[in-house]
Amino acid sequence: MRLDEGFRFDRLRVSYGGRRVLDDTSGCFRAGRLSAIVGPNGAGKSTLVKAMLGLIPIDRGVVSLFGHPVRRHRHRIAYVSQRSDIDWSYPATVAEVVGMGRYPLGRLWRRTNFRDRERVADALRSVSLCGYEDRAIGALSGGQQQRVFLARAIAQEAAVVVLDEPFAAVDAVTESLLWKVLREMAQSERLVIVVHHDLAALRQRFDDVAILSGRMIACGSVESAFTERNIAIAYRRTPREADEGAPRRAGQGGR
Amino acid sequence: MDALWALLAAPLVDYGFMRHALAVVVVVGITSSVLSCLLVVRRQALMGDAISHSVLLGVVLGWMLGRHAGIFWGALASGILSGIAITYVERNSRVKLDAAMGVFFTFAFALGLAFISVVRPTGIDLFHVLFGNVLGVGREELALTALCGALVLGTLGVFYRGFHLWSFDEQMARAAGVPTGLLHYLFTALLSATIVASLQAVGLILVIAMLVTPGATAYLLSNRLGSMMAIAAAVGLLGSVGGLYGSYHLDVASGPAMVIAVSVFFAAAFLFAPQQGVLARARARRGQRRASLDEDVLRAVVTLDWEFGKRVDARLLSERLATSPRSVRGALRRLRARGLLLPGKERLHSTPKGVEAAAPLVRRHRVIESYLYQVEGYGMADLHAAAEAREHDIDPETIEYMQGRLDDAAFDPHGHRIPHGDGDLRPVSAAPLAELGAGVAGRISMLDDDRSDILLDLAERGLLPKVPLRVVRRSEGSIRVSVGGRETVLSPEQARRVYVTPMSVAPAG
Repeated sequence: MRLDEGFRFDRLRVSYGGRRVLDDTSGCFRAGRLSAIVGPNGAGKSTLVKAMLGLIPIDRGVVSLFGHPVRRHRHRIAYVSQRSDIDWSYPATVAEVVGMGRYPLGRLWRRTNFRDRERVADALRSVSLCGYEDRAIGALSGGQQQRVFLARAIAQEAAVVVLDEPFAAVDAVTESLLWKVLREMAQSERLVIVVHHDLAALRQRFDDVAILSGRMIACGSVESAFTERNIAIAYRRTPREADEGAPRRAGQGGR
Repeated sequence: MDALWALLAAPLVDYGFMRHALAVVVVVGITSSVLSCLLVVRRQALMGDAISHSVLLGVVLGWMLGRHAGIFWGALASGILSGIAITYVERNSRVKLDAAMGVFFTFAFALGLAFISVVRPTGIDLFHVLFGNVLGVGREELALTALCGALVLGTLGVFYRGFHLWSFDEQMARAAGVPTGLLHYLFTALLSATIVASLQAVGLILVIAMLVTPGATAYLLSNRLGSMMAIAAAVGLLGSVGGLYGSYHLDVASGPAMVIAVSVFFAAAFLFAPQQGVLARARARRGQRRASLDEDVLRAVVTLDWEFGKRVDARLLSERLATSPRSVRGALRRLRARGLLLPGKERLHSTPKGVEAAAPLVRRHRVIESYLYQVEGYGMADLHAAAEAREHDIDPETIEYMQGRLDDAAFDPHGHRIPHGDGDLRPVSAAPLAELGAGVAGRISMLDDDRSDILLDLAERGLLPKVPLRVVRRSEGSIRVSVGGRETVLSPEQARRVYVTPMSVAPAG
């Protein structure tokens, strides 16, 4: 495994329900960095993530993780989908959901062991949900639900953590806790990708950014990629206008 | 004892077919109920419906190919294939799962009926295939059913983790490399096997109920998939065995009797489940409403009576809290019973214990008001109502966070002190402006927040906490004050709501 290779994707083309959502999209996310994917609504942020993780088929292009096909490292990927994609009335307790993070680590017929339980307890502690073990997930607040999912990702001890809009509609306590945990994850050489909708303080919060608008506008460190000009290209015009009007791939030099 | 014997044991001793029937019903009841849990939590209850209808086609084709021995395998194959076909249609078109199922199973069912009408197979009684014939189960069919049941439950047990993850968060499972596609088809196969095993007992149409109702019942009674499955199994077992005996003693068709029995369990859970039941929910809602009202009443009494030394009675509370006098009387009764208010009909007083209990409530209210004012930029007049709307749903953690973000955590925007620790809620000595004589100068210490219109008017004229003020002239029905270098006239109604800490007494002028 070559950590320095990161999560690479090259000339991706992805369609969704017959419509082309992403085209000619290339870029890279690096281990040890906290990376954001930003872009206007419908820019293809979630689509890029799902295509990279192999959750939806791609029409064209190549994806590699740590220098191998993604398949090779699957059990080391923790994915947290948008909270609205989950049925929260599902009968499960907090400890059970966090424990599910341990499932991909062994055979599906393996039983829960002492180490699993220990990891679950640690994960709950790091998101301040001690004492919530036996609560039903449906009875939690939105922020607490998000923290349960974060704990599940921690318990999975994954090398790659991908979160889709984790900050949507969470309380302030959860928000600051999320930042803290994500930062710690990046510091321990994990590859952390966050689909994000808020451009405020992006430069302070993240190390790297990918700016999308139907294609890759810019990808790289926040200093080089998150420029006025790239934001203008991604947000002020429709992707088609940007294609015609702006110099192609204006921000690619930033990498 | 004799009656019990006659009810339960005699049928088994007297008739061999009842023994077989009981065994089949136990297997079918448990197996289909456990599977129904996965269908219910995946919101695909109708998948059982779709596959079981499609099985009719397999029954007919199997009979045509291999007579009686072929029925089982034809049914199993058609169940699995229809599951695959439905998934294929859903994945490769715009059509959603429910429509894909609807299209496919009606087609397969119609095809099965058409074959029967043409071929007229002598060995198939359509009525029995559709509605079951548990009393006609032979030794061989019993063995087959038991084998199916054991296989299904065994597979579920072995791959429990996989099914658990697949049914809760399929995306996460796939991203982490759990073979969800395989699990999906495995589940379809298990479903088909269960339906085939249930063919004799309840028939194709009624097995649908066994694949939904026990799971739906258990869903109302459990917060865990594992315990949900156990409860569903118990419901399925009791329902089908009860239905069997019911059919024997009351001479009702056995399949329908079993379905009716499990439906009774569902109705009972729907009404009486301890958390999810209709009655429990109504009780919980009422309890919550009462708890909120009790908090509001206690806070109002303690702030007005203990902190500001005003006269409080039930009528004032009913006005301030916009609640019916009857509800307020109920709240007062409960608070007295808890020893938080002193007994007594007219003027209300809190006990020391009541003051202690109210302190965190007062604190919560004032921190929220301050947060809304200082951080979120709410207007003075909207604060009280906004804080009241939110305070009952906010947890202590959030209150601490809000307080951490306040510039001024000592006083709320109305000038009321925010209590911090225990015993921190103290009587306040400040004179209402209405009682001050001409020439008195001081600083506004606080404003009453009971009337937002008056509060807004005062705030617009610059009468805010900490602002210096001087009484210029008093007359009957009005009071003229100087504030921020301008003079303004207040009505007694308004002056009563402004509290001033006098600083010095200057000669009248």
